[in-house]
Amino acid sequence: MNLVFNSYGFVFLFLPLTVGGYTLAEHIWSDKETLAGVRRLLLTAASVLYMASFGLRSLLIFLCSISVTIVFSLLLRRFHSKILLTAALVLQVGALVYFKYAGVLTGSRIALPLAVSFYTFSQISWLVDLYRREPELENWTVSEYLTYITFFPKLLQGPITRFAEMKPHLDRLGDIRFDVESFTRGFLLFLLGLFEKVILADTLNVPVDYAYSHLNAIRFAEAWIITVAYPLSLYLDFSAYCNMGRGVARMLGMDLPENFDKPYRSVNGSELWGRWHSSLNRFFVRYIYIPLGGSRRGNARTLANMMLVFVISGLWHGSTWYFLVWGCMNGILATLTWAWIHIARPAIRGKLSHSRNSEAVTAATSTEPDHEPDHKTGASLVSRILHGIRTAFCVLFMDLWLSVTFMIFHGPDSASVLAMVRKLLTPQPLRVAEYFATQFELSELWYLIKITPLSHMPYSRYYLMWIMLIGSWACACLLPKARTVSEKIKINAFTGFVFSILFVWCVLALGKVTEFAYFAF
Amino acid sequence: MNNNNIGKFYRVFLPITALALCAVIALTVIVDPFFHYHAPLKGFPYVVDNQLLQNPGMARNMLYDSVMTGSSMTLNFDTDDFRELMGLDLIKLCSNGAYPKDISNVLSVVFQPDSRARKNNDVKAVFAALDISTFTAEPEETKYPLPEYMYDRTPLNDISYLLNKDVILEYILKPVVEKEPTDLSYVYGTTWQTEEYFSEAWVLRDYRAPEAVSEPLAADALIPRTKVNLEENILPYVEEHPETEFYFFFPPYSILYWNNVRVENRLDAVLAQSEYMMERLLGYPNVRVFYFQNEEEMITDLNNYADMEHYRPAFNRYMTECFADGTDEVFPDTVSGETEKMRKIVDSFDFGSLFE
Repeated sequence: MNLVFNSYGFVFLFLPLTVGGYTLAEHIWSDKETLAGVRRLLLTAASVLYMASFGLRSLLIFLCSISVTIVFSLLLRRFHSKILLTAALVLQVGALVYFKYAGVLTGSRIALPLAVSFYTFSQISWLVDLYRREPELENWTVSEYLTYITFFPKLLQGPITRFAEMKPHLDRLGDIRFDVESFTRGFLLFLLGLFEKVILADTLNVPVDYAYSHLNAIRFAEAWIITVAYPLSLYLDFSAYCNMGRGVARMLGMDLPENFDKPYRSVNGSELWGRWHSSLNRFFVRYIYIPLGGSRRGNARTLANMMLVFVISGLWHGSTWYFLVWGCMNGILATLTWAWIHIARPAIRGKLSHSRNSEAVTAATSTEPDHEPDHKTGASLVSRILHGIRTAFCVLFMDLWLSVTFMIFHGPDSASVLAMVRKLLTPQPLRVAEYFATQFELSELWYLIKITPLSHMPYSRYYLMWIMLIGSWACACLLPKARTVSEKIKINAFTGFVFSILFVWCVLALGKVTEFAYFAF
Repeated sequence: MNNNNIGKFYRVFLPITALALCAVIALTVIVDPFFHYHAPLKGFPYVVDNQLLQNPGMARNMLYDSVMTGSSMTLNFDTDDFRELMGLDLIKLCSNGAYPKDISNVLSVVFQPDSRARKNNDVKAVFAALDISTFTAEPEETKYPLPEYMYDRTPLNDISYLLNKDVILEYILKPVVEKEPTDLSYVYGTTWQTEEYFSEAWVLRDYRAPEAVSEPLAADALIPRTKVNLEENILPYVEEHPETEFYFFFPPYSILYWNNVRVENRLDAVLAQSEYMMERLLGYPNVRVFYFQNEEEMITDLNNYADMEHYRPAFNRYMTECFADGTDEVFPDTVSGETEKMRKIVDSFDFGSLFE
């Protein structure tokens, strides 16, 4: 039985036992030092057990990896040597490259150990920060390191957390007392994440799987619908995991960094990567981009550094050529955006302001009286409307970009990806088969058809498809972040009623246990 | 935050949640749409369409005296034909794409001595389609991951069944609204395969010939794995249940299937594998073997097929008649004659004419 967040075992057994044990400890050990030690032990043991539930192989590889890091960390503490750091990094990156690419190079199948990318990146950040003598890592202990690296709410899919980000919480482990509000808000966040996963993401995944397994039958319009639906399901899936993880951390009186900040609201290529899987981007910036010189060595070097980061990001996401293309496409967009914001636009503005200054000088020297604009409010309204239209256009463009570029993530092989691209580029009449539309259907929506006038409408299945698609997009783009909702919402009898319905709905949807998409990375 | 409000939250949240979950569990146990706990309720319009989840419960809690199992080659049998021609009360426990282990999983439940079905009567006959290509799979391999909670007797993991949205919405509430129960005599039948699917044009449209292989596969290459599969997944049931008559049959694939075998240069190996299987099975007195693969008129006409392997439902009726009257039955001394006839069909068929 694996303890994936959206499983009965996790919701009804592992989570209550872990939070229960963690809380009970404060009633048994009153001494702060002892309590902190017990909680570190408990969290580490629970996390190892959690990892073990996914299979012995992944657990053993994980334990080997963290043992190697501990040995090198102890050596680095004693001998502050670049050679040691390099050796440790070569081992970590080498293992990751081996598991991700050896199969491709040798033509054999090597199963990717669970979460290997996420804990490898965390360990790289640990080793580099240790070498850089970051203040948070002074006087570190093995038990602190183990609690940090194994922490189960972030273990399988991140966010990729630096030790410095968890250190304040680890320091407080002996002080944290069970707080019913903190627990409740954490639980609500977990529940909202569960809803994102089992009701939205898993439902959207059905037509996507259907389309890729029936590529011959898919037509132009359907291919475009799938192109929009897949990244939505990927986002909802990944963001759901992070929300659930943050919710669990909150229940324990801790916190994890944000990984998603409404990427569907991005207005340009640079912003997108600050909003989508931002912990990965922070990692790349801190440990690759800045050491390469960042933006300190001129525009050309900055653009080259950015491009390199995106190429590496593409290669990390997958070992096939189309992930490289994906990295390059996003790299090109991000560098163009950067060049526009930092080079072209300031230059244009400089020219414009120069000409405006000239006009102002002419006006000041003229004999005409100075007229104050008396329609300030109107101008501001117009500019706001124009700004809104421009923003909406940029958001839609970026959402389309996200859809098209992320489409390849689902392709089981190059042939399928190319076949889907061909479908997208071969215009046909805009027809969607009813059977295709039914793939979007939640069982619950069938009852909606039965009890509403929809049953008498000829296109009821299509309406439901659009309800599902637009509703999911609204969740991804328009509605507030789950974290904001869980923190701001008034906790009272009414929310108790609403969330009990949501909880029951989600629990009943656990029957189809599905993995999270990013388990494969 | 006022603790009083949080108290109100939990005073509403906990009872509603507990009540709703208990209601769902109670409803599932009472109706039991997968027949996991008891026999079907009289008058409830059960929908049966999920082989993996419903087969074990049907095998355990329904009353029958014979079983049809195997891959999609068995979907279109009609239990009424068995009653009419052989006087048998047959239950269909088919599994699409079944591997030998899938057949074994079904039979293990069928022969559970403490089940309601077995307490009522023994099994008179088992009919099983043998798809030769699946007998080279790993002996433990199943087509789909097994939902353990439906096959084992541990109540602890039944939560996946008891708290399941699909069970409530699709198998309890929807049948009550629609009132269209499954006709068990044709359960799992491919009703969507209407007449237009059975045509040469349709079959050839989706057919892709495999890559040609120049080196022929050794005649005995497939036998070791086949032996293990037979000995682990099939023969134990034959040996442990001498009171049951086992009807094993080789379903009639179209000539396109044999084109694949020919292009991949494994005809000798496949025929040797078939011979081996027939000989091993015929070593038991309670086994009867039927070989339909060399039904030349049938297999060479692609208008009898919806794809390379799936034949018209009318041929299921014909096979049932054969089980009843012994046509196409194989005996120890006719095994090699059957495979030789198959070889002749393949050797003499003008495959080029299909693709002109």
